Amino acid sequence: MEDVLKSALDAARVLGATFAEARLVDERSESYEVKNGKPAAASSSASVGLGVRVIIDGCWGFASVADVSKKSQAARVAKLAARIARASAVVRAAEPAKLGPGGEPGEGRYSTPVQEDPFAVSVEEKLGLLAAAEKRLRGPELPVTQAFLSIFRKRTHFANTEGVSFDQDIVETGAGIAATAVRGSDFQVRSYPNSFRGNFATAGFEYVRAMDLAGNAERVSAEARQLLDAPQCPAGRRDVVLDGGQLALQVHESIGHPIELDRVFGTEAAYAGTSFLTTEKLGGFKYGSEHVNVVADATEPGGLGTFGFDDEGTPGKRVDVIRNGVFVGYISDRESAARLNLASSGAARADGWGRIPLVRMTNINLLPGEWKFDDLLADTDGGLYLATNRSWSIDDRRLNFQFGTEVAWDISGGKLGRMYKNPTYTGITPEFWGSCDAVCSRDFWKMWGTPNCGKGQPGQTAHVGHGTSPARFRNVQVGVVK
Amino acid sequence: MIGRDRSFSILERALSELEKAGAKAAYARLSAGSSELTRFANNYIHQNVAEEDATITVAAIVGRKFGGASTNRLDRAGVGQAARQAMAIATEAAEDKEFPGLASAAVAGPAPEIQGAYDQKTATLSPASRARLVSRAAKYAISKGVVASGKVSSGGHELAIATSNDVRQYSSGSSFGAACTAMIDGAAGSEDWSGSSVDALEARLALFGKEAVETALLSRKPRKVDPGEWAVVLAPRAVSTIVDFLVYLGFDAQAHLEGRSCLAGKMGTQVASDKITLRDDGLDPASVPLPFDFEGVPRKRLTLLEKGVAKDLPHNSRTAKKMGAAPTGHSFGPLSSHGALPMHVVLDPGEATLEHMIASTPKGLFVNRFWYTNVAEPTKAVITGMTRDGLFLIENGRIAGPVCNMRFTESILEALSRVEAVGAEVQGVGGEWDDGVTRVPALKLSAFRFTGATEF
Repeated sequence: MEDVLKSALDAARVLGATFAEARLVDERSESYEVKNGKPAAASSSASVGLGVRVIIDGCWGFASVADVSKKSQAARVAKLAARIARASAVVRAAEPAKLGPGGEPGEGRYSTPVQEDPFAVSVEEKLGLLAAAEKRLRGPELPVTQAFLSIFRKRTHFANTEGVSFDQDIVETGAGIAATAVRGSDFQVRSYPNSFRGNFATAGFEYVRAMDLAGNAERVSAEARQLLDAPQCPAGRRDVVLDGGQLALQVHESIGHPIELDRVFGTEAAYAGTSFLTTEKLGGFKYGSEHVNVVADATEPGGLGTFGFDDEGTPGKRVDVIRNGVFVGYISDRESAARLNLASSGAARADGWGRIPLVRMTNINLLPGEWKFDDLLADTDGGLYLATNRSWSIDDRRLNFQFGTEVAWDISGGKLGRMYKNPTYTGITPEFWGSCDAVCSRDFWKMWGTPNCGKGQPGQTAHVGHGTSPARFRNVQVGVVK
Repeated sequence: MIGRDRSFSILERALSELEKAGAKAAYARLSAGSSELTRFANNYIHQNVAEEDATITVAAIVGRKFGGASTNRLDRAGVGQAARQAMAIATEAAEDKEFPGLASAAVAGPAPEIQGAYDQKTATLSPASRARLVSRAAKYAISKGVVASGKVSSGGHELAIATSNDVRQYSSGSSFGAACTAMIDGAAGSEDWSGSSVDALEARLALFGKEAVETALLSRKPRKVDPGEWAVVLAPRAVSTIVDFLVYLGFDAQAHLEGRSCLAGKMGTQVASDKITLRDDGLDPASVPLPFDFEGVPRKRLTLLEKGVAKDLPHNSRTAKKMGAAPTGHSFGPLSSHGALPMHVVLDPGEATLEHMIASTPKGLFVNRFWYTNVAEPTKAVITGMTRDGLFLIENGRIAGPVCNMRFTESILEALSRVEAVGAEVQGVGGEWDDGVTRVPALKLSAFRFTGATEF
């Protein structure tokens, strides 16, 4: 591995690169789905390749190739990256590409702490676990019952021309169940522990065993069927309590993306969009109420954004994003941070060997407050409790959002009352976070994995995490305005 | 390029490894390609990338049990490992009594060669050529005091399939895309051109950036208007979002079987205006064609909506067997848990010009593009999203000025029942997430529901 990286960097230097980095990435995954008593999908995949990024004459170039069986490939990739960098100079920036501080020279090593290697668990056991859970989902008016399991391993070998190198071994595990109830033209879904194939963590198979999928199956099915009889969620202004899973996506869309410094500088303008969080807001903008405290924390155990090094070699770190409601920090890579004379926040992440690092979320966590969940319900009479994301949409500056959840309940007398179907809520980002007046405590706080965060051209999918506990928001527009 | 002969050589090796591992039936697919993309922002190139990859996907089948694996290690060791992994999964899998088996050679006969699907110039377009296109947009933007961002992408791809049922398919193709977003004073405009040949878009590319810049300039100082029902003229990019979601929510046969489709029980009935005829044509070289699906079944041309009546459903072998139909060449593969979906959608043009649609609108909105659209209520085909890159008020048949962006929440089927005019010119549009090419004209609708607004 070291030979391949060294060959690529040596070739890049000879071709005139003032900076180069090489990443050899070996990814492996397995995916299983049991649907209606049958194996709907069961497959494994493996992908290995080399990506080389260079700066020549102040301009970037990147090339990548899957076939790294011959050492000569490394030099060929570096040569193509150099050719591309020279083409970039045809339409160049006023200033040459500049990188802020990243990792210290030296060799680093990181591995996800794993109790039980998920790749060592037999296929029979994996499918058996899913089959047992899926069987307990089945019932009348439930034409689709599903159980999912995914495992993922990414080994990265990195080196750059500044003497930074690391080997990193990330392991991710995730699973979930879902029941789809259908009657006439109505169909409703309930999921556990989260929608869209479950929840995910950097962890071993112990994470899946602890989920107790089978133990939650009957409740999930019952709720899916109850939704068929539930009335439509009424529209109007309501106090709402969001469960941790929905709140994770709320954090993702309305905090995680706007704080990406590359978006702020317009480098995603044509695709993912920009951000309302322009640089003059740093340090003074009132993002939310004093109850809103958010960090970007690549060191939080178990998060999908937990790692030792980002894909520029910057060590994973925790940085403050919102402190007592005030915006205090972006997530950044070396290039975007340099524009503000800052060090990288350690958030440069690439989707495999064939993509460049972009500014991506690590674990964007809403820190816990003081409330017990039961006390919060008791204090929110007449409100709504919304659980489990169903849909999401937000504008290209991350202000106007609309979310749908699988289910809502009236909060009445300190308890969950009548169930509603098709709940949605909408708002404007700073107003919404400004309406947050209660966050549940650490006892109710957990990490949620989002394995499908899209950004960049060509498209990249990032695996990111969000730590949340249920929280209350006042006077929120629920349902669609007529 | 790997080429036909070498592709089949790799696939034959895979079939042999699967047989050696114990598979009673075997499937192998090779997807290969090189893609390059030059990205620009703030009027300069900031990202410029290339990727070469080739992945083989194998399936081992034993009776009605199966397992799959994929790898981009194409040597004997890599392919052998994938074959053994697929067999290990198949061995432990439960029996699927509804598994239709691999498509037979009779069903998956030779697919037609599509002239023009592969364009050598497009597949091998140089970084310098892409940079010159970027330069064109950036120079125009700078001359107008506007900031331009976007991408120019090009590449070639190959797909080959071989099965133990003697199915053999191979195709190659090229793809090109150019998109530009222009911004000034918080206002934005954009344009997007996609297809399989750079030369076919030459006339558009000669003016690359101009439409985006002019739209941005016209979008400055937007006024706020109230949400509610508005007559709309939708530019092709906005129409593509609606069509893409209709296809996703309505034309998946698997969703019909499970009662999840917005068109379940409505096939053969009028579900949209009689001005709407929607087809799927995977053989049209003007899209990025693919003559067969991932089971190896040749693609059939489908009429999804004929004068507003829901007509053809795409099928894979599984849904075809269950619904008493024939596979149509729209499968994602024999082991895919997804159904079958149209991937090359064309909305038939009408006769109206964009100018006429605007001139015939006393009061309404012109929408250039929707963004971040998602499903709100799937069986009612209700979707929600934002406008972006150009929203204009129409008053007395004229563009009266820019409007702050708005959120819509609307049933696609209801919207498409209110079509008043269909544009005469069809444009190939990349999806919201760069996911394929949809070919659509502009539309005029008598009403469209907006449910929120932004400050910009």
